[in-house]
Amino acid sequence: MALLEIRALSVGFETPAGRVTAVSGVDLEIGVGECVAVVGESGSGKSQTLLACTGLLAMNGHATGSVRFDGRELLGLRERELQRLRGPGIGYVFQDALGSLTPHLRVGEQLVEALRSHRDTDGATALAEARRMLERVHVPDAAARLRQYPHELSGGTRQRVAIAAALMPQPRLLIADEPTTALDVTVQAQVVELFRELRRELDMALVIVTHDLGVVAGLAERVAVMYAGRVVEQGPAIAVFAAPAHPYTAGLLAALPRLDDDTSVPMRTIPGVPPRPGERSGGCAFAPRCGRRAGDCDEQPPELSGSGPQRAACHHPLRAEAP
Amino acid sequence: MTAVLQVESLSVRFAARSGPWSSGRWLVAVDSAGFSLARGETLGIVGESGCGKSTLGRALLGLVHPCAGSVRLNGERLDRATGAGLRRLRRHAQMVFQDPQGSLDPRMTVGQSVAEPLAIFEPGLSGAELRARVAEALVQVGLAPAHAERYPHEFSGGQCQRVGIARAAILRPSVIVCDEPVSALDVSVQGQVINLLSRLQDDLGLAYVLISHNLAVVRHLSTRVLVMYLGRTMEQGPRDSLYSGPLHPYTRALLDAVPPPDPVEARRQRAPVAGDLPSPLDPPAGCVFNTRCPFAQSHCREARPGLEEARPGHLVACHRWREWPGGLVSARRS
Repeated sequence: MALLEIRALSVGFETPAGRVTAVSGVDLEIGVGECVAVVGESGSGKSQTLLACTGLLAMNGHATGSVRFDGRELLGLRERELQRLRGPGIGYVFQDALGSLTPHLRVGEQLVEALRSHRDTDGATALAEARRMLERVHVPDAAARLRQYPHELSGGTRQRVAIAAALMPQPRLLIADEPTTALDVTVQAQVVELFRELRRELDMALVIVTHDLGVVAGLAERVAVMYAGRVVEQGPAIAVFAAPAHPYTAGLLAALPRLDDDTSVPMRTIPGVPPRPGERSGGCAFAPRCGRRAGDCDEQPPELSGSGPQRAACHHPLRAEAP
Repeated sequence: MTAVLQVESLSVRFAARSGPWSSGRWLVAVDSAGFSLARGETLGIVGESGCGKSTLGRALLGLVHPCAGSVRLNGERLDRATGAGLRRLRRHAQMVFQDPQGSLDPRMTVGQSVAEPLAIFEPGLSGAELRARVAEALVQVGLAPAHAERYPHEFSGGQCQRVGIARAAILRPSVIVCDEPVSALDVSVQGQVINLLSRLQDDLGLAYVLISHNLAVVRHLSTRVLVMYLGRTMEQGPRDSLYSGPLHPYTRALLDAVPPPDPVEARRQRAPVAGDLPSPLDPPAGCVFNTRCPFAQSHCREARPGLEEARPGHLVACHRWREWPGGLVSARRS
């Protein structure tokens, strides 16, 4: 059984301009100990999908469908029950580490609180555990950091502290939303390496939400690519990167600037722009930008289909070329 | 050929105080930067946060005052110019900003924003001439003349960035400083903007200064590349020489930090350097990179390396570059 099972999840927001659909009909499973990347550009619904799972949507947001964690339905749970679940069940790491730490609490107090709100331990034991956790995520000079405030730390150390705080109650699932986007490139590489190490050592499932296919490549076993609120392709990372089936995935991979690109020709791009939430058509949302568009693409949105583990929501998917 | 932009030993520093009674300290944001840029060329300036790349870009346009050195635009001293003289020079040096929406006035139509530089520098134009020039500029960046009537909030980030480029290019400047022009854009749109910049450069003979943290993006447009760290120039040289044979360990680290979009290769990737960037207020003694450099020796912690010409036009500030004259090999592949 999957640890997290998302079925037909839709998320909408009530706005002054009417109801806006951010996520429509997403199916996604995260296995025990598995690492899955949810990839998409801004407005694709990747963050709202995972926020909806943990009851963290904005006040005007509403989720329908089903989200089961360890067999238990999460949608419609009361806030108090959700709070018990967050932490030991599902941990969250956000892009903005400074914003996700409490500015007037010392690092040590925050880590201790993250533990003691879920487990009955005395302060000294919790503080010792906090120090061990900082060392585990390779924060240098951990004992001194415990006494510091978030604003005194560098960006990279702050994100490590945020990761440590999420790990304190030993979650079975960690959701990291753009965990490296705000970091400098050399520090980004360190945090990706840290996640890889944690995956080896801890029995924990990991969902990385990101726009950056490069970050995902070295981490995820499985990838789900989202566009305009839907999952358009999912499958094993190696298969999706080697032979994407959806034209959007293929376009995104080709558009990624690489160090070995041929610079004498223009960069490969996807023409046009992603649709805004609310201006989605009845057919495939990617059709206006797609080179493989045909008549049926404008008529009805394609469902995820495919025989193997790699499935794409496309009426005219790319077939893997014979090697 | 005379250089469009000629920069010599340019330094910028800011007064930094930690409290009202503490004695002032200086933050050296840019330390003795120098380069020259010809028509149709692009200089890529690369580095991480706090390296001084944006301050250098702003100093090139006279938006911050250097404390030493010189900036010559088409042979004239821009750093000494004031008032009307500075305004006259500025029409030849324009800027494109990182935040495409934030750099446009939300209460002005796109047409008004693009027309504003013309209204300032060519006040004699009639309304019809102005509209024709705006329409031409919009078409040039891949938008339609009718877009002039719309407001920034009606556009996507990529389209707003096109407007920002139209506004910078409408005066036919000699040089445009682009500060992180694509980092706020979606991946599928980034290439469109890079290709647009490249085409405009060919059509109009523009010179660019391209400031970015992304080495893969910089490689597409640049003729030469300058790598900065904590205000210092670590390495600068012709693009291919720098990418295929980087001489500074920091350049190598930046190259190795670009995640390869391939699961097999990416699993071999290791973080190229440990630690965080030191505070620019308190840079390490000796070589500023020594605290994170895998090749640092005691000498590196004591003496600051000067810029040496290792290959024709290729400068590096490292005590040990002679040990790898062909360039540092990626740690990832070994």
